[in-house]
Amino acid sequence: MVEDTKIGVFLCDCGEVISRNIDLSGIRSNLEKISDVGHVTLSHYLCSQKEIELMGSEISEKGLNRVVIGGCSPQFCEVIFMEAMEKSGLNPYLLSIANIRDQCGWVHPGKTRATSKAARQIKMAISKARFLEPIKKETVSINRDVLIIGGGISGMEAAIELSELDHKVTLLEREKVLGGRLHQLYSLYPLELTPGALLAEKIEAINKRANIEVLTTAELLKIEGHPGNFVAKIQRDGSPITRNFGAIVVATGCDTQFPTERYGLELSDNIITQLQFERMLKSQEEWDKIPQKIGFMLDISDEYSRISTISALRNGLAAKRRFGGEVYIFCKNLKLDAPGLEGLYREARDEGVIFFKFGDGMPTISPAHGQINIQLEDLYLARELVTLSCDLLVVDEKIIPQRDFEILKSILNIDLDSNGFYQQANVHLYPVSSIRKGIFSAGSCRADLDFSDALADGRAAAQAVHQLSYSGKAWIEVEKLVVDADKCALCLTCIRSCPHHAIEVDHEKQAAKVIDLACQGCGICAAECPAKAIQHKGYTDNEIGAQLEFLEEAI
Amino acid sequence: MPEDKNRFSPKIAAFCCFHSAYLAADSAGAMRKSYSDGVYIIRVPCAGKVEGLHILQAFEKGADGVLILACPQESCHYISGNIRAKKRVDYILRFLEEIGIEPERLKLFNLASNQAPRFVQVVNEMAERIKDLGPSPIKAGVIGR
Ligand code: SF4
Ligand code: SF4
Repeated sequence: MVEDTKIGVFLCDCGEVISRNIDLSGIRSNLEKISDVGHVTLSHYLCSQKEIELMGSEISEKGLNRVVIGGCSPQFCEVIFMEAMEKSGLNPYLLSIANIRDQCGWVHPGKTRATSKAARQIKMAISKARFLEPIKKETVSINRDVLIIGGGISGMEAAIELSELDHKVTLLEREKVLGGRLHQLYSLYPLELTPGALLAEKIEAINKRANIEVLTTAELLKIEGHPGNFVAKIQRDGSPITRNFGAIVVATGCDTQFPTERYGLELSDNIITQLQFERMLKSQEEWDKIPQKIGFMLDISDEYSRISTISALRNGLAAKRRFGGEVYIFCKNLKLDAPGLEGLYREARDEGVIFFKFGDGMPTISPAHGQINIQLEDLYLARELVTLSCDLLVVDEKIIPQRDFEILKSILNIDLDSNGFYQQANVHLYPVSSIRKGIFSAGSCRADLDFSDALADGRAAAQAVHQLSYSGKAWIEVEKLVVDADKCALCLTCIRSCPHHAIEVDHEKQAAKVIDLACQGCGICAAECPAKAIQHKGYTDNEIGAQLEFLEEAI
Repeated sequence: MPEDKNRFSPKIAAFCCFHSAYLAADSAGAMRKSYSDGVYIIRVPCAGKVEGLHILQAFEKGADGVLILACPQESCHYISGNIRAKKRVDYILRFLEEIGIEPERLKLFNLASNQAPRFVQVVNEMAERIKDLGPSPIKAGVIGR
């Protein structure tokens, strides 16, 4: 407790929803007896405009310096009450909420029991409130310029989108030209557009926009600074360039790898990869090399790959249409988990592509006399042993991040996930955010995405960047996580355990320091610090301990 | 003390991650799914914020059981918070028995914000388990005698 507390308790009835099962007036008279409770009200709808204004005037008139709410869940009302407190001049972090509707009145039948639990919850909130400390909010300026690493389909799309949103963009490409894997693809079926035409369209759009700078044969060497204000050292044709950016989008795409040992297969003239086959389809001179019986082998690497499945369907259909002949697709269990894939599968089947499912039993693949014999237990045919021979077998490859991802990962100080792709902050909630604020990833460097998903991903990343930096300003909560420099032994545990890489060493103070703009407030560092040098305002030891005190009371 | 199993109403401190279990508890409310009123929900930003100290403090103050409720595996709001929480719980479990507290009194579960029924099931099962075990030996004054 820092100073003398004068607590205002605001009970809400939520339109008689709460009082149906909880005796709020009884609770109210009990609370009035607590010495540092300076004010208790009971209102019908605390979140209504009128009541909120009233709350504001009570705070200033009575000089309340803590606010406790007894009502619905903070997930609904916290922001509203924080705003009201701010307006009346009280720091909005001096608020503690007892969720007596969702987590009491609605779940504990019997008015006596529910009332006594609600009273306890409110008292817990009051005890916590006594220890609350103010947190200062500040605006900091952030750079609106964006660096995009990788000029493939997602990178180009992100650049165009961001430029339309009025951000200055630098598009970095390692190769001499933009386009990435678009150069290797034969078709984008079911899209009518050819890869070449799509590429030309995107390049034209990029050239038209004055706020996109394209740097080809360029590489990122180093990143300094913090989210919102990164300094990038770039090398282009051997000469260094320095630029400032607020955010970075990694769109470096993927590579493929043929895992010989895992398959027990060697590539040869008639066992080729999907990409090699795509190349044959692409150049007309090679067409007479394409034989009559072609097999596509999926899933033998044991990992489902969306890119491989789509390529096999697309190329199988193209081969069948253009050259007739027999086309087989062998798969474990065809998974069609992208928009339009089901249609593509049906089309391939209608066109006469034949599918074999081998389930969990692996097929035997044996080259003999210029042909490839494939033997498998067919799931459709009640596990009957089927033997087929093909003139050409196209096998899928492992999709891996592009070759220098390890270097980039350490330059950017971000992590890889268990599949070796760039780690996303949360696969479901924030797919394009990396673990570090201000750094995003898009396209096939973050997941197994085909080109149409990669396009959409580029736009999603652009929107995420825009959301972060559109105004050129950001709010920070100053020292919500604060390191006590005297206690800090610089053991670096916090730096290692922070999932968002938001802690650095303050060399002047010889202590760890939380970067407020990068910190996302999980509190992991505070829990891990062996010296207990870090406190997390809102969840300090005192604040948590004060709530635990109530376990002493009988229920 | 099985004979007064029905009268003993266990106190359970439930540290709930604000991105998963806390929201699941809220929707259990919206669905009017009732659970034991001996559950004390303590909001934390992430299960990884719960320190060993807090767990032991809860027992010391009289909790009959402690629940740490974290985000689902592989989908932690803060990437590794649920893993940190698991490690810490495992660490505490190693010596809980030594200090005379049955390890069943401390449990970690992963659940998503939309899993209200699972929240209710987890807390009710915990309450049942604790009823079978009886009041915490700390509260009963068994330890140290
Ligand atoms: S974990 Fe604690 S003692 Fe170690 S560096 Fe971080 S703040 Fe300092
Ligand atoms: S609370 Fe600590 S661990 Fe969590 S993001 Fe902030 S600095 Fe990192």
